[in-house]
Amino acid sequence: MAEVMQDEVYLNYERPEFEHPSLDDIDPLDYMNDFDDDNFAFITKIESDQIIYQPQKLKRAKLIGKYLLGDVLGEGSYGKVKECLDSTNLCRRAVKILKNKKLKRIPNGEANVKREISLLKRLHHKNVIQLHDVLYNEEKQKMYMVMEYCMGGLQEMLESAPEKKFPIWQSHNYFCQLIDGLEYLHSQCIIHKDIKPGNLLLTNCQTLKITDLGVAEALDPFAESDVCRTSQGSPAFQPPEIANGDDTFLGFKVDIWSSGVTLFNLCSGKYPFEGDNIYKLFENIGKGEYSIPEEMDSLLSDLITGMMQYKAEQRFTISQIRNHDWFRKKHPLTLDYVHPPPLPGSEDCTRTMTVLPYLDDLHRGEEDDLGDYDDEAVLSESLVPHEVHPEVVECTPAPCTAETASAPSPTHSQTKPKKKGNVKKFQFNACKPS
Amino acid sequence: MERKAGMHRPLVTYDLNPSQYELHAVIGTCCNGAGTVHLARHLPTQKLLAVKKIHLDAQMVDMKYLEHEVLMNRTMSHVNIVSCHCTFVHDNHLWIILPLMAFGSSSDLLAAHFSEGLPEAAIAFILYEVLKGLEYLHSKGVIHRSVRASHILISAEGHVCLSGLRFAYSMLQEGQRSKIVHDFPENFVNSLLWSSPELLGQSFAGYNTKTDIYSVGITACELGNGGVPFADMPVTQMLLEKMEGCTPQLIDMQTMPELQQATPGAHGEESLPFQRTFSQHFKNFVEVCLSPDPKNRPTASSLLQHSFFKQIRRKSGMESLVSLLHPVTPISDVGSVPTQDAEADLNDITANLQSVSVETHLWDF
Repeated sequence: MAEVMQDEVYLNYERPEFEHPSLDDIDPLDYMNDFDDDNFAFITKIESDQIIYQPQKLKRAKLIGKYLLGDVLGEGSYGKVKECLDSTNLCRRAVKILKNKKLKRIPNGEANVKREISLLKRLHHKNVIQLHDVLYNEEKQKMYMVMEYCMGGLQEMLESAPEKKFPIWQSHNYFCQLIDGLEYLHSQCIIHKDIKPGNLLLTNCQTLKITDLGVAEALDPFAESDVCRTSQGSPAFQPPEIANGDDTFLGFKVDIWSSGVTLFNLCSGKYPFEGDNIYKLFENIGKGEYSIPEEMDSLLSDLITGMMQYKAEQRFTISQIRNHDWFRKKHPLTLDYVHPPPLPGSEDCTRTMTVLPYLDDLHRGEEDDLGDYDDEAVLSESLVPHEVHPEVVECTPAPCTAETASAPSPTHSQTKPKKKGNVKKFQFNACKPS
Repeated sequence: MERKAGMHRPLVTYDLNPSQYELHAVIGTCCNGAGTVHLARHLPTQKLLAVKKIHLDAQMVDMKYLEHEVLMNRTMSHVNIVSCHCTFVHDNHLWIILPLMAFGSSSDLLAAHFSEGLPEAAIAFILYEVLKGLEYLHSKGVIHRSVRASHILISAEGHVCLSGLRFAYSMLQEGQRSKIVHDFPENFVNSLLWSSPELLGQSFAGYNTKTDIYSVGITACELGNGGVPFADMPVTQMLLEKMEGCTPQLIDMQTMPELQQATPGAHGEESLPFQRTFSQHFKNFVEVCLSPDPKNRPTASSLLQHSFFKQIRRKSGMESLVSLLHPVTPISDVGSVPTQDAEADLNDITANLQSVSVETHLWDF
């Protein structure tokens, strides 16, 4: 009783619409469910015997450890990424949900994840994504990687931009942060091997975070050089030595090349190398002939040329990039700032918390629901009614490439042929719809 | 009084030497238990001081925040912001020498005697001073971010200071003053109840100095009601309520008429304070401070003109605050006791302290 009274203290502030006499006999808690926000419209109190049909969108609270799950933010290569909330300090986080079943189907899947976790655990830099927590659920064979929350990635922003590119000053800002993060990674003897806009995220305050160290390689601290033998990165961002299938190559220079392609892409909306399929693409990269769009000024084209030198030994080092005039220049601000787009199916550009409806269920849901709180599987299964073969789902955006991409690639024994992540990356970044 | 204090300060020099300070009773802890706040005597002047001693090797010390707090304390200079006399490191301990705020924090006052809330006139005076401090911070581009009763300290003379600059955030970054801020401190747990919905929301929209105004509103409820709103629920539910625009309010006979009938039999004398009525000005003040949309919240400067503050007597504000706080007495009433009688002095002070700061752990400034 005392509790209800306490609630009324906070609820019955001046809200004239609630003063209607017919509302007097309604439990004050119900008011909260009737707020004008559309998200809450479907949560209304109905007597249990009147329930014939459960609305599909009902958002059930799911707690993984101390983290309350929110909506899906995106699909990573190995599983969903959901927003979540640390219920102790109310920090917004993102959680990568990895299913063992899925991981086993991906070549090197488990090894890559293990390596990513061990790398992320020891990395602390403003421009590298922070891993906060790793949780396992033995029973459901799932793993949860709790990371910093980011509001969006450069790839989705580019896709939403009118010309698929950023204004120069915005590209410059992101590129400088990319170089900061990359310098840190290299200082820690880590080669990322998959630098591309899709792996660069942004926080609310526009801090860039390098993410997805799934195919990164940590060099032996006592290694004499940065020579590497394997690469699993996205094809369109690979340097000629990898496209040509060289047995060994210089690791750090791979990241420099990929960052050059990334800069090219951010500033122009185009890719230096394209191809209808992975063979054509690698053939083109292997030749190393590309043209710099005319709209790029001489300074920028000089920087890109330096980063995309055919011979790895001649490519710029990070300090050469830092000392380059385009890097050091202050670029004039223009008004055509590209804003991160709202989540699909939403119009909320400020990306407000998506955990609120789940919080509502957690604190005001019916007693019967209590049993489900820990049951993450219930949610994911109910949202995907029929188990579609994952590869098929991934391939739908560009079916034309599915065949070619998943075919074995005999020319490059180093490159993992049927990796699901690669298929998707290839489609998004390498193949332009013709 | 303020002017006097300002004139006297430069004449006293505080040496960076622990032998100059005679430590007495522990009057509080800070930094998650890694530090203690001592009542101390400055030997050259025989004046009472507060000395914060923080063990720098302790695990719970977050050096980043500690450094920031000291830096903030030393760069901000205003009569309503706690200033530290000096800081030095001695034997793994950081010593921060602070003026003694003999009444403790306003949350200590609630705990010691005013469990049902402070008198409205006292709240008006305290919040007026707090807003002056905030007006200064905001003019410097600093957001305090953890305004709450335990961060409002009161001296023996009734002088009010804002403390707890650990989470203060400067909007001046890299030479530019940003309009919005997105930073969300991870170890902010103790201040979440006072935080504004836009700060808690952590969205792209961000927040600005108006978040402090919201905290002033919550603090006003805390001082008026004797308890912090939303304290009776899990923080996650508090988040939900705030995000939905739920606004706490002052509890009195008008806002909760049922209390009047329900209480006498049930709790007897204890509930008598609920027979009070807060002024409409006060209620309006709380309401505007707690507007869910930060745009609708006034700035600290314009709040200083609010009709709620008309009740403050301009000249004798501080004295009347002291008399309003009766029967709670400040620590420094112990007066100058001869040093040879240190034992008695100490006992006296400790006894006195127990009446002042029951919840000493909140004395975290």
